[in-house]
Amino acid sequence: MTEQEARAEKGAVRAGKKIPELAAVLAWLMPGLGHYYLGQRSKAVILFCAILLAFVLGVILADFEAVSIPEHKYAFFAQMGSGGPTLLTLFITGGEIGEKGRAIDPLNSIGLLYTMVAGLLNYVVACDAYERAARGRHESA
Amino acid sequence: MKALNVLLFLLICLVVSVVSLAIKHDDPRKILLASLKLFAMIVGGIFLFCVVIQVLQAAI
Repeated sequence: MTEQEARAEKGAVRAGKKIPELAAVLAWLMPGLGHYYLGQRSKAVILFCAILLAFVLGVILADFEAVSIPEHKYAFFAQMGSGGPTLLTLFITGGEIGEKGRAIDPLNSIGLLYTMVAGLLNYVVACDAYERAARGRHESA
Repeated sequence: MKALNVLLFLLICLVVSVVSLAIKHDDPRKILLASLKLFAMIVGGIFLFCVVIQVLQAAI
């Protein structure tokens, strides 16, 4: 058995005692937190850094006017994929955007695009965390 | 401005490749190596595409 297989098996054993729904909710709340909960710490750090980098860069590029429910409602659905960072941004900015933010065309704003991509990627990561936890539970049963 | 747009596009390519390969692999070293390989392929593909377009434009 190679080192990698041993590590994967160890991860599966750790994931066996975990609740899939909780793993998915944690992954949605903060990118990488679901995998951290499953015991895959280095993978969690990689996911956290990659997704949060895209989200924070997007918010900065859009002058902190990327997250707004009334102005960008379809974009908000994608952004909500990374629940914690989006809710935190909404809480800090209050969801209020000025004239400049209102003038943003969702198809031409790279900041909005970055936050949307980060959110959509985190939906996939949350599904992966759920699937890994469910598989681990199934294997341990 | 154009260079910044290209840089931002490449950065989002890198983020997407890292996340998608992190889902596929378990070993973090393998994740980084595979995502760098995929990123290099994307950059190489774009570069080749640009060269082909330039050559075609010159030929026409």
